[in-house]
Amino acid sequence: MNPALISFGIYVLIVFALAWIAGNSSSKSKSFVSEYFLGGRALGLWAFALTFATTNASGGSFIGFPAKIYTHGWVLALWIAGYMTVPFIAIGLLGKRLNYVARKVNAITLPEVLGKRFKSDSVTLVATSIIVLFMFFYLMAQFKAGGMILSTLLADEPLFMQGIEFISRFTPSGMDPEYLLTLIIFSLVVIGYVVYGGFKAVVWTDMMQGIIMFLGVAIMLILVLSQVGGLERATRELHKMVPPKACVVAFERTSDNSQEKILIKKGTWYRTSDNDAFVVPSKSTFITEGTNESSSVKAYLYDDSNPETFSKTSMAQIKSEEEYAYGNNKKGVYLSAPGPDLKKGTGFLAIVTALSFFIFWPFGGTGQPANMVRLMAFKNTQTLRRSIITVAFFYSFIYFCLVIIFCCGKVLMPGMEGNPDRVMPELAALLSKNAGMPWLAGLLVAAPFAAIMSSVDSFILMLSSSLVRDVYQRINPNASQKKLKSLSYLITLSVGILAVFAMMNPPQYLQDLIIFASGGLAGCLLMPIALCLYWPRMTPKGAIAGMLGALIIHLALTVIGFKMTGNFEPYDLLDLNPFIWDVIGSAFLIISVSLLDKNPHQENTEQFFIE
Amino acid sequence: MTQSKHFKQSKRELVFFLSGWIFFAAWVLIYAYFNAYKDQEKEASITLGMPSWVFWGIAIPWICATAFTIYISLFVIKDQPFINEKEQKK
Repeated sequence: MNPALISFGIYVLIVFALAWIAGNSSSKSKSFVSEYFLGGRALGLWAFALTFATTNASGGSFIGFPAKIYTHGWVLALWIAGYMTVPFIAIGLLGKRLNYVARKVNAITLPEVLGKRFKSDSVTLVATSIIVLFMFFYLMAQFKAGGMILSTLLADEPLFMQGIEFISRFTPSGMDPEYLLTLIIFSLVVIGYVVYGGFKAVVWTDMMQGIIMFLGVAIMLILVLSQVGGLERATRELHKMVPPKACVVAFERTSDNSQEKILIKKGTWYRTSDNDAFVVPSKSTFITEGTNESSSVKAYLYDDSNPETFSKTSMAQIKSEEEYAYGNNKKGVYLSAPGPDLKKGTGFLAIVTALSFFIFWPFGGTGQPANMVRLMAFKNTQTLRRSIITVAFFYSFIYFCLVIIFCCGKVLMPGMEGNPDRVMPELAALLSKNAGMPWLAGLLVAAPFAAIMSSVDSFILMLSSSLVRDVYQRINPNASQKKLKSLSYLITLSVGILAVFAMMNPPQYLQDLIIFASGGLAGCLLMPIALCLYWPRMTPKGAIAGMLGALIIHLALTVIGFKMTGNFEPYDLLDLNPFIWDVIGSAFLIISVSLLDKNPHQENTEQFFIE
Repeated sequence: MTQSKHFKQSKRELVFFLSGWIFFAAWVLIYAYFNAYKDQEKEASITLGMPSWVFWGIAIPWICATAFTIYISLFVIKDQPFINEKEQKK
C-alpha cells in the first residue's frame, strides 16, 4: 500500500479516537445542549487559540492560496498582509464583550445573543435565516475541496480503482464517479466525528489539526528551501520567468500505429509540432483508435522551458493562443506588484484591491459566525489575552511561509498553471519523493485536509445549533435533555447529508462560491453584532434593517457581477470588495433606523451597559 | 447611572485595536504603493532572499504587528471576571 496513504490513515484514526472521547464526555454532562454546541464555555488557551486559528484557515488557505501564489508570484505577500492584524482585530475587537453578554443572557448561538439582547424573536429569526442560507453555500465548497485532496492521495490505489468501477454502475450520466466516491469517503469521516462528538470533538480535532498544519508547513519549508538551493536562488530564478501563453491545442500521434488509443494526460509536458516549445494540457483527452488527432483542449504554452521529462507519444498542434493581459513576456513580473494576470490589463492586485483585502481579512474574519461562536466559549480573559498572542505566532508563521514555499515551488515544479488547485498536493508529493520519504506526503497532504475538516466541522455544528437552539427550543422550550440530545444528533447528521447531496454535481466556480458565502456572512452579521455590544441606543428594528440591508446589497452586487461577466463573481464597485459595501450599508441602516425609532427600553440596555 | 466597568474597559481596548489596524494598514499600503509597483524587469532588488519591497513593506511590519499584539495582550487588555467563571472552576 502507498506509504503516504498509511500515514494519512493513521491521522484519520486519531481524529476518530479524539471524537469518541469527546462524545463520551459530552454525554455525561447535565446540560447536553450547552456542552454539545459550546463545550461548556470552558476552553483553555491551546484549545481556544488553535480552534480559532484553524477554523479561520479553511481549505482556501492550503488549496486556493497556494494556487494564487503559484500563478501570480510574490505579490501574494501583499494580498495576505492583512492577516498581521487578524489576531488582535478578530479576537480582540469583540471577544471580551461577546463572551460577557453571552454569559449574561445564557446564549449558546449567535442569533440567540442578538435575540436576547433586544428581547425580540424576529431578530433571532432573521439572523438564523441568514446563517443557514450562506453557510450552506460555504459547506458545499469545502466538501468539494476535501474530495479533491482525497482523489490525489488515492489516485493509484487498486482498491480505490475498484471502488470507482463499482460506483460508476450507479452514477447518473454527467457525474464523475471518482469525485462521487471521494465525496462519500470525506463526508463519512467528517460527519461521523462531528455528529458523535459535537463541539468538544470539533475543538479537540481542531487542536490536532492546528498542530498538523504547523508541522506540515514547517517540514515543507525546510524541504523546499533545501531542494531549490535557498530562497535567494529561487527569487532570482523566478525573476527570469515569464508567464506562459494560454492556448487551445489538439494532439497528433507520433507513431504510425493508428489503432492504438493514446491518453493525453493533464499536467504532462508535450512538445509542440514545430519542436520549438512545450505545452501542458489543463484537461486529459484521448487520441482514439483509427484517428490521428485528439479533440481540442485548453493548455498552457511555454516558450523557454526545458522540462526534464516529457511525453513522446504525441505532439501538440496549436490552434489558438492568448497572451497574458498583464505581464506577457515581462521578466521580473513575479517579483513585483500588481503581478501577472491573464484577463485583467491592470494586473492581479491594484493598490485599491490590496486595501480592500487589508480590510477584508481582519474584519471579515471578525464577522464570521463560526469565529464569533468560539469567542463565546473561552473560559476567562487570561485565556483571551494569551490566545491572541498564540494565534499571532501561528498565522505569521503559516501565511508568510506559504508564500515562500510556493514561490520556491514554482521554480522547482514549473508548468502547473493549467491545474493550479493541484499545486499543494503535487508539491508535497514531489518534495517527499525527492527527500526519499514518500510516507511524508501523507502528513503534508493531511495539512490542507485538516484545514478543510476544521472548517467543515465547525460550520456543520453552527448550522445544526441554529436549528436546534434557535428554532426547535423556541417552539418547544420544555423539551427534555434526552430529546434535545437525539435531535441534535439527528439534525447534525441531516445537515451533513444534505450538503453531500447538494455537492454531488458541484458548481463550476468553487472559489467564487466561498467568497460569496463568507463575504455575505461577515457583511450581514459584523455590524449588527458589533453595535449591539457597543451601542446602547441600537434597537431591534435597527438590527433587522442592518442585516437585511447588507443581504440585499450583497445579493445585488452578485447579480450585477453575474450580468456583467457571465460568471458567478460579484461586482467590485470602485474596486472594493462587496463585503466593504455590505458593512457600510449595514452600519448606515442600523444607525439611521435606530435613531428614527423610539429609545430602547431601559431594562433592555441596563443589564449590558450600566453598573 | 454610570457605565459598567466592563463596558468602559472594552471601549478603551477597542480604541487601541482600531488604532493599531490603521497604523499597520497605512504602513503596508503606503510603502507598497511607492515601492512594490516598480518595474523589476532589468534588475531584481532582493533583501534576505525576498524582493526588497516584501522585506521592508510586509515582513518588517508583520514582525512589528506581532510585537504590538504581544504588547496589547500583556499590558492593554485587562483581566476582568466573567459571570459563572467561579462556578466553572468548581
